[in-house]
Amino acid sequence: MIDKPILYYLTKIITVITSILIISKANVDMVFSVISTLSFACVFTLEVWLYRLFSNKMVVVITSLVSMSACFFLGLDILFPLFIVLLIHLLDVTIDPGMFYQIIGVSLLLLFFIFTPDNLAFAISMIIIILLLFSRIILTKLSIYKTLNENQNETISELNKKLTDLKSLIKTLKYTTSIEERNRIAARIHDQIGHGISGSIIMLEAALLIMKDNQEKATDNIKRAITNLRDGVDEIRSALKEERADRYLLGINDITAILEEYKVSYNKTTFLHTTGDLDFITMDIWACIHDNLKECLTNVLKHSNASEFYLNIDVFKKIIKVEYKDNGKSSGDFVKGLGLEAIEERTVQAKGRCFFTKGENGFSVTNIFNY
Amino acid sequence: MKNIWLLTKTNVKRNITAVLISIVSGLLLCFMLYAMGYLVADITLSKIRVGVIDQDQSTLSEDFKHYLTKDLDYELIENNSYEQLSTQLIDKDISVIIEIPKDFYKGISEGQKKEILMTSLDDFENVAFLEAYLNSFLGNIWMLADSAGGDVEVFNKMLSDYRLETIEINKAAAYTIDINTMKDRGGFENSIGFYMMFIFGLGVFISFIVLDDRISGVFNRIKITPVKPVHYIIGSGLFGVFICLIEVVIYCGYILLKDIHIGFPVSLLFLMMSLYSLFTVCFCLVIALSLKSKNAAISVIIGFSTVANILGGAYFTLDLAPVSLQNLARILPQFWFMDTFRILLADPVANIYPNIIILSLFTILAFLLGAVLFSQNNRSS
Repeated sequence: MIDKPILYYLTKIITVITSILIISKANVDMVFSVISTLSFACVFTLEVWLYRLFSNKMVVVITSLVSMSACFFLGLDILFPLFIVLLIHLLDVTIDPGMFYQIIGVSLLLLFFIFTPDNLAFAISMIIIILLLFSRIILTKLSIYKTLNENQNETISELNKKLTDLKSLIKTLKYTTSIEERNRIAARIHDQIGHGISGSIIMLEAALLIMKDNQEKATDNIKRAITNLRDGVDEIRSALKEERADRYLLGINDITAILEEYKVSYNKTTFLHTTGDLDFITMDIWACIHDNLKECLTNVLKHSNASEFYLNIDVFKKIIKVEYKDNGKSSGDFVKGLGLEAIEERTVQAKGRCFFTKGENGFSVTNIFNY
Repeated sequence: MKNIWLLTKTNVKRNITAVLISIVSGLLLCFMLYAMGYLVADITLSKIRVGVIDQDQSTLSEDFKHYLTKDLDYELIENNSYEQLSTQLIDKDISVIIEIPKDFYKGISEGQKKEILMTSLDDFENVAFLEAYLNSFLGNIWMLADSAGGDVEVFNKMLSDYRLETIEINKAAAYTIDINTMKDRGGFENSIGFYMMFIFGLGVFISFIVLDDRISGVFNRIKITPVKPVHYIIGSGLFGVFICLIEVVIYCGYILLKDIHIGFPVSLLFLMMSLYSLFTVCFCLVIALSLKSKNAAISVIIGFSTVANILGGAYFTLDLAPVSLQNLARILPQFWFMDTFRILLADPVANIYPNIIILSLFTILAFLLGAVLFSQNNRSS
């Protein structure tokens, strides 16, 4: 990419060629012209190289002063535009950037008054000054934007790293939670149910041993073992009831996960709104809602230009109403394709009814179920 | 220093083909110097070719043809088709077409002043001489015809007497030609341009070394080894200089061994060729460092060498070209390289320092551009 040293380098090369070949009007010996041009080109290239190597402003100062002296020696009437470019470069590296334009303006005015170049040299100098300063402004802005872009890229990279870390943390947490839960259930079975069953086995074995000699005591042992086992079964039932998640929680969690994943993957806003006691929704209806939701979300991507998607689940006294709605706007009537027919079939199988509505504010599918 | 030497040696081993091509191109240059010398001498000393249409087929027309071939040393191309001869005239295979009309002998013997027709284009010197010879021959024949007074028998007798007369034609060379010097100089002038073509061909190998290493990642891997990138570039450059100098040494060595008189000291030739070789190596390194593919590099190098060699006057002089084109040629190193030899061939003690300075500046500029590109690549990577 072109930076300031390269900009000045190119400007100087163009200026020296213009000055020697145009302003000299072929009055100067060709050999002299070629040697001068090549010498200047070598000095300017050396300057760029040394500046690249050492990044020291003194390099520019020294080469600029040497070249300006050469301009005086070879004839300022011919090399006036080059002298001006050299001066601008010298000032650019030495003075405070805030004062650059003021000092350049004053210096150039003084130069034009002191040396009064001829019309051609003046015109070429003015064109080169304008182009140089204009390019310099663009380069400065470019450099700022480049830095900004680099910073933003760095931030994006850091955020991506954080996101990856968080994903990894979520995975670890899920795994740890499931392990902890398994351990807890195992401990509960061992502590409460395992002990009861073991006790009952011992009692039954004891009853078997004393069956012939002390029938009464054996009967008593068997009765106690039966009570123990019954308690154990009750315990298992109670544990299962406690451990099993509520049915509605399984369903709504699944639906929420689908909507969240869709939101992240396709950059669309999704809304979930529920009213009433979701526990009344049977597994068949949850399965139907799950499949229909997936179909509707696919339809939004394929046919609708929607940016938002709404899922409303309302549980009334005897009726469950599920509405899938988007804000897409498409011209013409909708045609019931395979997807919509599948939604209808699923709803009927779950003993419900299905309605499709296409309005100005989007497309909606409504399912009504009885319970 | 050890690394640089190691890299140069490795490059020689890796690119033995380039070394062989350099040797072959050096030998080819020597052959061209030899062959072109003979060709130039042959062209210069060859007889002047003249097209003749003899429609008369008489003894008098035979006398005229004898006069042209034996006395004046012309080479006659006889053909009765005017179209074929005119094509040869346009192609400059012959200098002039001489047409002996039908009844030429009959007319002359009867006392008529019959003419021999001559057609020419732009070979003015030869035409002028031929016209003078023709007028001399016709003047003598007309005089015989006048003396015979229209009597055919008397004219025939006088013509046979005239044939027996030995008329000496004194020939003097306009300038003395040293055939060996002409051969040597001609050979050199015509072969040196091809050196510039061959040297850029070798330059392609140099740029390919750097490009191959850049594409395959060797260039970047070198940075983690004790070999510094600067060593690598100097090593590659030295290999380039080595293969270019092989060609130069073979060419200059041949001139020295065969004692060929090129008109100026061979040391000057060696200096100029070495300088130009350095420029080529630096230029090719610049191309290799600035471009990203081999196809682009070969296109730029061959394109530049072809156009710049033509503009620089490697194959033919630009004296007849437009002034703007001649001025444009001055921005090319090829021009200053060839200009040195033009100056030296005209005056062996002429001042050629400006040419040496310009060629050196071109070389330094190419080297510095390469250094800037190299430091830029190094910094960005």
